[in-house]
Amino acid sequence: MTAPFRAALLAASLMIVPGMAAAQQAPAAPAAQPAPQAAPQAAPAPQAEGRKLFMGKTCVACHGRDGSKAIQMYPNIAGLDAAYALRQMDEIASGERLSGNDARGYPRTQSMKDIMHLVSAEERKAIADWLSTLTPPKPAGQPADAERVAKGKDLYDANECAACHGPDGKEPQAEMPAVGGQKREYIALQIKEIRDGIRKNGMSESMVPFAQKLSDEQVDLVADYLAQVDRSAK
Amino acid sequence: MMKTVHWLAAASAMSVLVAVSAGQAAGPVQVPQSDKKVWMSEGSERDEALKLTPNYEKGKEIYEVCSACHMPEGWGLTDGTFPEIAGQHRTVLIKQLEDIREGNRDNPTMYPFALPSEIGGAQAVADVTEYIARLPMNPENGVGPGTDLEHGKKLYADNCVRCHGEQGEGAAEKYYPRIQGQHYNYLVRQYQWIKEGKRRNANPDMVEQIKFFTDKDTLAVLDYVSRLKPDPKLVGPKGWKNPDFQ
Repeated sequence: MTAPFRAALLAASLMIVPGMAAAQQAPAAPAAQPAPQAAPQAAPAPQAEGRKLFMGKTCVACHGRDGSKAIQMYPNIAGLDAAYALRQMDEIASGERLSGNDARGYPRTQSMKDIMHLVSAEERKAIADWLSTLTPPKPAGQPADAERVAKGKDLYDANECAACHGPDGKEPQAEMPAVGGQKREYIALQIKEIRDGIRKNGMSESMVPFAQKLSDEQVDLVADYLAQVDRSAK
Repeated sequence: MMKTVHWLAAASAMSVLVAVSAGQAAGPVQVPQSDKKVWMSEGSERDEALKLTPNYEKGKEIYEVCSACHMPEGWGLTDGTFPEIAGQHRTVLIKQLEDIREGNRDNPTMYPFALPSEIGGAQAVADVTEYIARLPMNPENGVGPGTDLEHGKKLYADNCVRCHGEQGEGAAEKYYPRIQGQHYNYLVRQYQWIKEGKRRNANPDMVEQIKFFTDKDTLAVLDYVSRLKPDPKLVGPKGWKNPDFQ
């Protein structure tokens, strides 16, 4: 290996940040165009900026328009606490938030992790702030039968989930996620993965003793209950 | 001064390679669904999709979800996170979509969008690929540092022309992709993954052909490829925006 390449390899190994290399802008062929001189204008309203980023940085593809029509088992994220949402973005990007695997064998968070280098810290904050202003969607999908919902509610109440997530999962403590009205499959996965130590980021470890009291069957009942909570009506 | 520029260019290119070899991101331990390497799967929906008459208008509707990452123009991102797919051979598009769907090619981000539950069955694949294949290409794709092009040109002539063609135009009937006009960083990532076996649906002849390429060779030949120009008839104007999605 020649000296310049050895130096380059050393520099590269020092530079490596997950995903950073993919974000490198390879120098394009010269296109000598001066930046257009726009008339000075007020900065776009923060909410407009957050929405624009949400649409332009691929978020909409998985989480749906207005963060309310997520595909597959991905969560709806409209109306989430801004600090919580920002934290999830950062922790999925850094690998601090982990998940189990989908049917194909990919970690469920991998599809998002692999594109987070596209979104800077300021942009993430703008998106999170915008999301927090949105009205959550009405509960999606078929509600479970009344008996399951009732059992789920009993478990939720008896297990003191409301201490952090609020009554009906509607008004959580600061920086906690609102779980009412979230997609059933997503709720069930998160409870189980927190319970089983697969997901450990943020405050989720403090949830482990509570979640450990629930069998899989009971988690599913809690999920059935929470999924039909309507947070869209204020 | 030139030496500094070369050093920096080499460093940024090498960082792409090293990060790619590390699996692009240090994340949770990957549990691949399969180690199976299949170039041309048998009994695939691919063959069915190829036989169907495509509906361009339906393809446009389906493409809306793809546009979130591949952009409305189908140009992807010049940093190579998402490839340009505009103007790719329809056979290649169908094959790659089906390979991702069937698990012959790993792509966690794209996987949900290849699923029948998201975009539809064989007819949907036929439709959307017709739309994508007909999109004009990006005249300003991401290119490499331009520091080793003579070397890259020779490597290309000796190793790649046979399948990818003199201008990197590929061969539709053989499923060899058009690589001219593709983003440099994307080429580097795919090439490395083909070389390392991480891209499991790679053509085994190619894996063999590039076995002895050094990192310097890789970057040189792909820089050269990134600068190969498609037939102007296939290329859109600079800054073109797709009117179908405005």
